[in-house]
Formats: sequence, C-alpha cells, structure tokens
Amino acid sequence: MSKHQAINRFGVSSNPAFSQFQKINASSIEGRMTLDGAVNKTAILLSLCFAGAFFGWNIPSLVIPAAIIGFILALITIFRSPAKARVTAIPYAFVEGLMLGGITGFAESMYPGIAINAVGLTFAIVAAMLFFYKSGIIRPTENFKLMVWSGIVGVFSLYLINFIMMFFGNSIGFIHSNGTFGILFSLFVVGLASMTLVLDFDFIEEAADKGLPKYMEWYSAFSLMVTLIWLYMEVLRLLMKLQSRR
Amino acid sequence: MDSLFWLLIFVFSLVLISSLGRVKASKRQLNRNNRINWSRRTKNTETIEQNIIEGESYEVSENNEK
Repeated sequence: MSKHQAINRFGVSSNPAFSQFQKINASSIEGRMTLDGAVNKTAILLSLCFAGAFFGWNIPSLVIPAAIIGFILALITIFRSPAKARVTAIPYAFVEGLMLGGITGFAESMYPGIAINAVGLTFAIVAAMLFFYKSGIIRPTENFKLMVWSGIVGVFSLYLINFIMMFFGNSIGFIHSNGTFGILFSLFVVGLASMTLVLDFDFIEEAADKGLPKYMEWYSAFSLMVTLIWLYMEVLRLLMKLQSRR
Repeated sequence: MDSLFWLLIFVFSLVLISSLGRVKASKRQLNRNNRINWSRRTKNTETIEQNIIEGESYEVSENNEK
C-alpha cells in the first residue's frame, strides 16, 4: 500500500507539522494584495495627511523642514525594497500633510476660500479619473505611459532649472506668472498629474490581479499619495494664479 | 456658498472614490492586448504563484524503486 493511499484512507494527518503547513498555505492566500486593501491603505495615508495638514496649518514654520524630510522619505521608499514601504509611507504621509497644511494656510490668508476649492477640485479630478479608468474610457497603453513620462521628465527638468536659477536671483518667468501662458502651463501640469493617476490605477489593478504580496498594498498607496500630493499642489498653484488675476 | 459647493463636491468625490476603487475595472479595460506591461517593475517582487512547481505528479511505490 502506498503512502498516498494511507492518507486517503485515514484522512488528513493530525501531525502538528502538517497542520502548520496547512496554516502557511491559508496565509499565503490571505497574503495577496487586493483592491480593497490598497483602498484601505490609501485611506489610512490620506487620514494621516489630513492630520498633518491640521498641524501644518497652525504651525507654518514647519513647511520647509517637512518638505525636506518628506523628500528624503520619498526617495527612501522608492529606492528601498517595496516590502518595507509601510515603514516610510506612514511618516511620509504625515510629513507631507504638515507641508501642505502650511502652504494651504498661507494661500488661504492671501485668497480666502481657496483651500476648500483646491481640496474639492483635487478629489473631483481623482473621482473623475477613477471613473474614466474603471469604465475603460481612458485606456493606458505603453505609448500613453511613454507620453506621460516624457511630460513628467520635461516638467521636472524645468522645475529643477528654475530652482537652480533662483539661487542666482533669477527664475523662469512663465512658471509663476498669472498671464495666459502661465495659466496654460499650469493647466498642462494639472492634466499631466491627472494622467499619472491613470497609470497608478492601472498598476494597482494589475498588481491585485496578479496576486502580488500584501506589502504591495502599502507601496501602491504610497505611489498614489505621491501623485495626489503633486496634483493638489498644482491645483492650488493654478487657483492662486486665477485668483490673482481678479 | 461657493465653499459649501466645493465641500459637497469633496464629500461626494470621497464616497465615489472609496466605492469605485474597490470594484474591478470593466472588461473593456482589462481584456485588451495593448495593456501596459508592468512586470518589469514588479519582477523583483515575489509572487505567490512562484511557489507552485508545475509538472506532472505521480505516485511513488516501493515496486517502482526496485
């Protein structure tokens, strides 16, 4: 009689070693990334960002340190293993909240009512892009990804050149101007950030579909937070330009 | 009044995002042959399926070993 026949006859073994094996199998199924999990993790990071914004609004002096720490945390999260994303994504969300709260508080003091407009518009864009993606109206392809990445590299190169020029008391005028060209540039960047959201959604959808490990939920939520923060900053900048024309 | 409008937009968008985010994308979106190949980014992450060894299983008996 073979060993397999014995198992068939007497049922599942009560050996604790085998029961451990069964537990591992069960946890490996539970340990897969899901859409639900990614949404929950994004909600956690968003809540932390809002909490940070509350403090940042009241303590504006934290803006610059928060921006520097946030940038370092983002680099660590991107270049370290995605398995450790949770460790850095949580403080990243809070610190970025501090920065956004301070900047928004400053904008609100200049143009009352701009904060809720910017927050509302940002989330409206996210909801619209999510709907367009889920329904298949916007279909990200390799060409789409290439186009968006080219735009991102172009815009960030421009920002970097502008940043370096600021040390010499100069800057690229149209980035900050409230003229037609300045507003068109801001609209373009808001559009680019919105298209980046589509890439994030597609990445999350495929990662969940392929059943990547659970920790990828944190990495996905972090990626989404980076885009959301960028989108919010650009929306705020656009609204400030429009308000300053009045 | 303007702020109230944007507050409502914000709340409505949050509800929409949290409900729509949990739903899988439409077949029109998923069943395409020109989808982005994200595997280059995820190749370093271990997938659960990699633990499954593909191949035929057969029964080992003492007679076969002899």
